[in-house]
Amino acid sequence: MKKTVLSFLALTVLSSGALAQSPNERVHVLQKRDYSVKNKIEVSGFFGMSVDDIFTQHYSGILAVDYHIDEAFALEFTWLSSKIPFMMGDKVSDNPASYKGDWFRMGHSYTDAYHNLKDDAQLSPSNADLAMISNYWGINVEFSPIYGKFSLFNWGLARADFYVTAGGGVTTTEYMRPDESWVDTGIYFMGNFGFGFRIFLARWLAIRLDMRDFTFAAKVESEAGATGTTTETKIRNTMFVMLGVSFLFGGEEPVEIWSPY
Amino acid sequence: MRRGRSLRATTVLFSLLLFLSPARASEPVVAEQMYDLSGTFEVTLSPAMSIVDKYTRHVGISAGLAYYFNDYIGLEFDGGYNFINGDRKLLNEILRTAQTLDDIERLPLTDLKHMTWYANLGIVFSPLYGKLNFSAEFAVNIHLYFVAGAGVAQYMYTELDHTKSDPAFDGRFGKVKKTYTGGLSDAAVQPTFHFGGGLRFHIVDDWSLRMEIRDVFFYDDYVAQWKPAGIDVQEKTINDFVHIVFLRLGVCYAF
Repeated sequence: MKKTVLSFLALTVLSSGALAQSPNERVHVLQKRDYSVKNKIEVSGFFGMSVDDIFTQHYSGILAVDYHIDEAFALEFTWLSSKIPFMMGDKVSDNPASYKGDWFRMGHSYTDAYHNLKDDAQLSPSNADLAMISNYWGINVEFSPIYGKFSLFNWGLARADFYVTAGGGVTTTEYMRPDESWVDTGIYFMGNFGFGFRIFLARWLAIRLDMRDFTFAAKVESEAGATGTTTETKIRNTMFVMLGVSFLFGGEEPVEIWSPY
Repeated sequence: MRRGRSLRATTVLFSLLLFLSPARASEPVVAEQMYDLSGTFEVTLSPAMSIVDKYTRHVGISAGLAYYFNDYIGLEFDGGYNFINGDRKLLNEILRTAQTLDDIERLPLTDLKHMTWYANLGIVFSPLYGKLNFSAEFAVNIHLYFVAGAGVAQYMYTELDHTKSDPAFDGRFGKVKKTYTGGLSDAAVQPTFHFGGGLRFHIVDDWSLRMEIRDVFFYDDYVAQWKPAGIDVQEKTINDFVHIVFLRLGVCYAF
């Protein structure tokens, strides 16, 4: 469904590409691009949280370093963390895959819907639906086809870059068992795609807002049956909203380009 | 619910970002606003589907009529029907593996209700007009807008029927759809409220596309069943706001 939505969004933007009405429009449709990112390095710090998981809730810190190859393309390294990396806690003696300890998992929690399901209805989702992203390291390619100017009530002007991004990397995921011990599911590939915008406050400073969909394979223990515990794999999607501040270094001064608009 | 709070927090974040954008009084604002909504009527046809669903899913269509008093404020009436509405596969997976559902008909879960038809009256508030430069070649004129209002809707939900034997649940029970009759009105039609926001992409003078996210909610007062000690079935009342978030993609004609 999310793929359908994104395809439709892309189609909507492309099909509405309209419609500058001047014979000189091929100069450039917006005048005076004041903020340039070409050849700049952008260091961003984000706060992120998951917004579409039914049973799990992530709160994450995200560090991103972008190199802007030109005004439209950038490469980005991303580190997303909901837990202090490589800290697992104390091993549970009767299950070597389980660990106890919480303080370093401050970004992991389960939603009211999970507690409603578990406590009121005495039901339980699959362990795969309870898996959470602990840390992610990856590379993204960012494409910024849209630069815009906005007026609020015709009072003032803001400038923004809109971009789409896609990439992949490695992630660690964990889930909590009914006895409240945590199980580390190992390191796996995780892909992501999304979109966002940066509003320029100065040539070296911007606010960024991203929506990213992370896709990973949750590989977990399933319910113990007659043949014992088995492994279950389920593809999970987790949508993050990320709000951050960016600092831009280096690069070039913007070139002013005039058009009839 | 925590997920609902996350969504509302996201909406607030988006709004704050837009309103905190730097204004420069010494510079001209967006030059030559090519599209103005003032004094126009508008009809909209919007396919819609629910997103960030918990246990239900919806696909439907709505039609609306709006009048814009000026470029910023309009009044909109719209109604629609969800021709696909029901439980998600996730809920069926949970029920299939459950071992504690004997004699329980009404599940003690929030957000189980799915909407069939609806009618709304609301305000459309468009504070932001912008031009986007797409690949340095195309100008896209947009309005960002917010909606809020109230209306009525009919909701349904599923009960477990232990006289049925559905193979999807290993033959232990089946499901039956019922019209929901609780809530504020204690009737089959519920009062609802909505809020949301979106972008309008102007195509030509009279035609535009709207992309909108809208949260429709109502107050649920639902007598469910549970087994607090694991044996005897007892009634449990669930009071909560049931939220359904729709993504609507509309084609609009102004006249």
